[in-house]
Amino acid sequence: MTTHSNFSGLPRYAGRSLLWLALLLAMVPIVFLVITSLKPEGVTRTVPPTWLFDPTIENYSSVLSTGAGSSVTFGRLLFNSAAVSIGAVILTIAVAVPAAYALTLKEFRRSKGVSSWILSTYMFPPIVAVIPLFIIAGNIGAIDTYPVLIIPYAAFNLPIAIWILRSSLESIPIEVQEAALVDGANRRQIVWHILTPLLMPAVATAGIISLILSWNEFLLALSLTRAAAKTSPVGVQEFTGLYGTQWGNLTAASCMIAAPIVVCVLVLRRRVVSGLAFGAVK
Amino acid sequence: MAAVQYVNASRIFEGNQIPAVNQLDLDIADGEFMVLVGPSGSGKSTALRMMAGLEDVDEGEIRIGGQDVSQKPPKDRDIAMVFQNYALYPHMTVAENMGFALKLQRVSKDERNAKVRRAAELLDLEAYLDRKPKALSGGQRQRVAMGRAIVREPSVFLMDEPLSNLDAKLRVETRANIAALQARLGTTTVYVTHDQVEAMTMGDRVAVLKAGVLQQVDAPRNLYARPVNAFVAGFIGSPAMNLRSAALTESGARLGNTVIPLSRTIIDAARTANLSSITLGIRPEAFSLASDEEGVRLTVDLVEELGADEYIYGRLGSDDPVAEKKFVVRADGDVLPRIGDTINVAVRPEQTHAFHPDTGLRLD
Repeated sequence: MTTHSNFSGLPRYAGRSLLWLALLLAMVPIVFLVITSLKPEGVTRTVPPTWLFDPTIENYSSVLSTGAGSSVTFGRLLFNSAAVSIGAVILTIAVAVPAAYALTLKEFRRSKGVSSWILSTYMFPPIVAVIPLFIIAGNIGAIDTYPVLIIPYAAFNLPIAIWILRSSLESIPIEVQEAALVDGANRRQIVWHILTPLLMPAVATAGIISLILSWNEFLLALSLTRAAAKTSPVGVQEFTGLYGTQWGNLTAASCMIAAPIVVCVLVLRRRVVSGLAFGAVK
Repeated sequence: MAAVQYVNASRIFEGNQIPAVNQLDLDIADGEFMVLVGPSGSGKSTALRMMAGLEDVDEGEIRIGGQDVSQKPPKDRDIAMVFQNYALYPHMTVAENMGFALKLQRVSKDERNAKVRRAAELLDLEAYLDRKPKALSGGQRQRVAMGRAIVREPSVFLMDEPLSNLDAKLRVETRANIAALQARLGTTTVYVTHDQVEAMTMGDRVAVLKAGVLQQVDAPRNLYARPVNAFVAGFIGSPAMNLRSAALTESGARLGNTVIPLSRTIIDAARTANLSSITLGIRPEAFSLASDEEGVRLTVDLVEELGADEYIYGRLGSDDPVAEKKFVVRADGDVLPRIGDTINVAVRPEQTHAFHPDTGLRLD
């Protein structure tokens, strides 16, 4: 056993091989998706698959300019997705940060139940909320608008975001806040000058998770939007129609949905994973 | 600069019957270095945090510069505090850490920088002003924590075990530096430690606490020479004083095969209190090796050589080797006994202490 391997009893290369195998298996559908999206029409569904072809971006351009089944282009759907997801992330963070801070205060710490209860709402199945949301949104005339998705998305993302931020706040030694108190800071200044900067990695984590969840959401988007606020996951399934599936368009659209998230995670990965290396104590 | 007073100050934590700090009454003079010392749970840190405004004062008052500050928030008390784990702001550079309080006071940037630079010079930190705490060693972080307090030029420094995270060598060095710095700045300082060596070496006066109750406040020399009770006697001094129950005789206290002579005052006090035995206290350094005929006979269990001193751990002939606490004797002889040897040690009579066996109070 080496220090690099946690597979007790297994030599390092065995563990590595297993990891590579798992990675490969996970990559197969993604690679297939990308390849298919680059195929010209006609060779997308051959059996066995065609491996030699002239790569083309015609699927991408046609999807972006026309879309399928709907009155708007897929480019518009991507824009809607972005607007709704970013809106949801902003709302989530704006509510989650003060909520998490409140939960770490002495007055709240005693009732441990509050935080557990907040997390337990995460288990709430969204499907149960669809019909009431639909009726409410219909009554206030909000169907097919951005807020009708942003607000429920934020509501469903809040528990996990609060939970992440709360544990991050609790990992900041209380003495750091006390030092600021003695240095003459009031509560607002402590939040602004001390906690907010230290909380940024956790905010990034919570933001990314919230972004991915909102970006991929399908059920509420399908039920609560028609065209103007329709998001891309709903658009993708429209490539499967009554008279067959446009595989080239569908895979191109899927790639375009996946790409922003992949880029986002790659860029923020180090912030998200490493957090802030602490030097506060000892 | 300010004098500081605890006036019957108590802190009772919710759900606890016994106060963490019980009716603490302590006057600290302007410019004095006062050390609060005690074992864990003695309330020394709580007392300090009450002064800082980080704990409520449930009863009594705390005065800084004659003014009752018990109900004031920390920022209105003009104090600076050094924490045990330093509590530096991890996202700020050394300079920003040290200047943070001034920034909150809206001190101009130039003045702030000048003050930070001066403090950094004092603490040998100039080369590190642009670093973040995580890029500093433990000793450097400790100095930044000190610097953060100094820059403020507060009326009182509060220090909560600031050396306990340093290694032994650095601790001794920093101990001397802090004492020198305090003497130079002349700022009233309240310093908490569990280490009686720190207390003895740094404090102008030392306050010994036990279970929230102040036992004794005095200059280190006096604490050592005349502890008011058996607890202080056992706590101050290293290795600890030998404390043993001993039967009273006409002229002294019986210890093994000999009688340790006691002063008239002690014997009279013991008689008045109707005692048949007392708690006898003898420091390791009050013993000396003696010839076979005189002194107390001990069987050697362990010998510790420290270079300058040697400590011999032994038991009286009649002692149960397991149950009884061993006597510690400081020896300076060239020829050291070996384990299992029998030695005789004499006691300097003027260096014996006698305490009431039940209350633990000093008899003379």
